Amino acid sequence: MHSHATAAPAPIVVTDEPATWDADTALEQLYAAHWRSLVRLGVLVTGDLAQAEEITQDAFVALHARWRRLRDPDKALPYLRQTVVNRSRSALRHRVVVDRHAQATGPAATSGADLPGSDEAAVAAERRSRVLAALQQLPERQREVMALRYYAGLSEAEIADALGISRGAVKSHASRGAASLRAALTDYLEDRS
Amino acid sequence: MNRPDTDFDPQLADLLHDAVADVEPDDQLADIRARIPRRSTARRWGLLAGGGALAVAATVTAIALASGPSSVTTDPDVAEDPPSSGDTTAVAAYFVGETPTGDRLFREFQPVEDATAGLSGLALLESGPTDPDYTSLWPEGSFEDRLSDPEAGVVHVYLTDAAPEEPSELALQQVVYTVRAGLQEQVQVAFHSGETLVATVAAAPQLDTLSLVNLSDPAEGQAVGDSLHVSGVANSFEATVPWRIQQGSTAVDGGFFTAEGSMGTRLFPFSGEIDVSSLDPGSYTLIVETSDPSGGSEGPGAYSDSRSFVIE
Repeated sequence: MHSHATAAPAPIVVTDEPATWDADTALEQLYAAHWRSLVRLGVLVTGDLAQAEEITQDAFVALHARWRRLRDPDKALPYLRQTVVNRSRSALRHRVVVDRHAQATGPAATSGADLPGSDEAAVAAERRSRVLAALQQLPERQREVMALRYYAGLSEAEIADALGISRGAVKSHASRGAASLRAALTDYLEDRS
Repeated sequence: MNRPDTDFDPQLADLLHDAVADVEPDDQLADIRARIPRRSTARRWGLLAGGGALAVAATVTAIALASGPSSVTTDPDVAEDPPSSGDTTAVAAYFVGETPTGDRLFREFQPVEDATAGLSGLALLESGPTDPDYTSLWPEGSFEDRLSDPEAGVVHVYLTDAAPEEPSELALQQVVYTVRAGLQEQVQVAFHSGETLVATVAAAPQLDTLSLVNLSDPAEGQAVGDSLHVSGVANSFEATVPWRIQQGSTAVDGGFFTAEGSMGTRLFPFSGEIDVSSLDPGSYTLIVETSDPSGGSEGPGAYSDSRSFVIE
């Protein structure tokens, strides 16, 4: 049973005209829309949840400071993504690879109402762990390109802009990264040949 | 022309999405809000404060930082005409590059639409240089989007938490030189963290701070036809600025420019046209240097700057 809390957090005001957002409104709106997916992007690149959260926080703080110059909500998400990836790069020097098995027993794993049976959960945890580990084995740039391409769904041209590298370099990283991941994760891929 | 993207593997997309599908980050909006600098925080720049060199708002003075070249100095000449451009304004920003005497500042012009004097230069420090040999010491979001009007020779710059905790002397000079170039005024810069004044910094001497040779034109990666327009500033022996064009590591042409002066305490403009009509289309590198009559046997060796360009 749900009980209606009397001290609910203040609702986020939905504004219809993003162009008129001030920095505080922009922060609220963009946080509501993108916080989770940006942290997840950070986890793919850094392999560490705490670090990804910290970096994503940094990105939102930077966005707030920059809002009057940026102003355009369409530019905000690319800016946030770019900041998360760029900051992940400097953070990687102190990387701690996340322990996915420990995470799988955390609150996230028990939050789903349709949680599969424990065997299935263990298999899923193992698969996630293997995918993250395979990503961490890639050179930095390849990992960034793979996360932006296959998680964030960016085109090669958008990735080139975000990372400040040439389109050709993106292509090269994308094809090498994909080849390495396929080789490392054959167990989870259907043979299409 | 757009080449099609490399094949997109939907199975990899599924695996990557699944890999983080159970990541549910805590709600941290309150933490983010708490980090937004509205209130003054005086915790920055502990080293400077410890040195007792803090300038207070009532008596804004130039301060000498504990390390590096003295900041109390004569005002360098920053007013130089930016290179010509189209509809946009060429905004100058000072970036960090390697030289024989350690890291120094290089000026780079970038085209900016709707440029705001002073602020646009700071935005470039955050977004970074186009020349891959340069770097910026100021990450994205370092500066608040405001800048005071110059008053009594001082301009106030406001840092956010994204700025380095304790900026190096060279990082401070990046800002001082960039703001002066943007405003075309020989101001000092008062740095604020939130609303707290942390330090007021004057420009350090040019010859101790800048690369002694610095290209303005061409821009990095610029496409040219039969003629390559070159301009820049230098302080070089006998005002001589040797140049060469390389394809890969092979020099294909060379000569020298003559700067408008030498000696003194500043850099002097030089410019010229190089006839490249005899060179095949392709990618080249222009390298300019300071003149080193000792051939490297004395002193630190020649300063240099380079740009890649494309002959169409």
